[in-house]
Amino acid sequence: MASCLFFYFIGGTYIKKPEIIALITLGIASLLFIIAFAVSRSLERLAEVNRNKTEFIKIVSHQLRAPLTNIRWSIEFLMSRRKDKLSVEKENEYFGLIKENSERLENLLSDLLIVDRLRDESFFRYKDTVNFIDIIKEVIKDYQFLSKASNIEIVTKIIDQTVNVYGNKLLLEIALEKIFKNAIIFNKSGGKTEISLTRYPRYITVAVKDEGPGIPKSDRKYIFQRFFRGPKAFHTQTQGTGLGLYIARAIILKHGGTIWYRTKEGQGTVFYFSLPTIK
Amino acid sequence: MEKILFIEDEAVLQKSLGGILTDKGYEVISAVDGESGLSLAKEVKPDLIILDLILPRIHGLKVLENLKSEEETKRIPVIILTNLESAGDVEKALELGATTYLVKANYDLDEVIDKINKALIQG
Repeated sequence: MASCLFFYFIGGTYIKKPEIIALITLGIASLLFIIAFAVSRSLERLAEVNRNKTEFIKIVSHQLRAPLTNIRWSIEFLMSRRKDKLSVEKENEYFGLIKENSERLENLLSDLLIVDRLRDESFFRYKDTVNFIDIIKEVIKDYQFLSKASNIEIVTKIIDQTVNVYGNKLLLEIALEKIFKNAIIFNKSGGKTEISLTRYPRYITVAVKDEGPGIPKSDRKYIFQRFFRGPKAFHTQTQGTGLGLYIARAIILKHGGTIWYRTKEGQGTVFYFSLPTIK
Repeated sequence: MEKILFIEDEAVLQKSLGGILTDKGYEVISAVDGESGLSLAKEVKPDLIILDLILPRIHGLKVLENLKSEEETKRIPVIILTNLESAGDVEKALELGATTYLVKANYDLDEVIDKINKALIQG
């Protein structure tokens, strides 16, 4: 503005229409302002990408290293006890821990692979008519063990026997699994994880509810981001990869659905997703 | 018998490292999260604390900060045993008063035990 006034007075001294000079100056100043704004936004975005990348390396290196160290130290322990002859039970216990940690590595690698494949459109090509009730039943069956171990009761509120959607059964199962697993591990001890399905004329809505601590306000806008783990989640559930909800959301969106949640700190969270149905 | 408090949420490490330390004649007390680790530290007053950083409930650095701010626990040597190796974490832990900072992946079990023995001798 100051430069416009300056050029207005300078222009008034030397030419007949100083307002034209002032308008041109105003135009150039606005253009420069827009360019500066765009550059600053780009730099902010780059900084954000860099922060995510650093966070990714930190999480992946920790997640990969922890089971690897467990395996290595278990083997070292077994080797150091060879002379003392450990009991078969003790040996089996350590072999079991090695197996469990190998599985943990596999899970992380498969999550990373899914994330990589989600960028590939052909990954979503194989679709068919799928009864979503079957998917719910299978996921509940797979997580019975974890819910019992975590002292969580699973409650189902489903009336229909058949609800057909058009999609990739395996991917839809993965999406539900990620949401359902969170509702178990982030639940309070002795809490309930409730899954319900509501049918509408053209779509279904699935709700997965927990009685956990809820999502803190500061974390809410990030929870579907790749590799995001809230400080609370990082400290209460040390094994997570920060990929579950990102994967679930990407799969639901690729099936023409939407995903959202409602949360209240201290009372729990409900994750909802909708999918279009077929007759 | 010297008492070691081992605050670590990985069952395997509790068993392998904890088992060897017990064999070596130490009394090992285990805690699987930051909260119980802090209360056990005040209760048993160990000769040494081995502390992981990524812990359920209370982060290891917060546990360390608490330990070093309380009169009854501030003189207990604390070894950080973790898989995090960012310069920021190392710096923060040493600044808060950790005796040493060990990255699990860089050490064999025997080397870790040597470091523990050394920290106990130095008090």
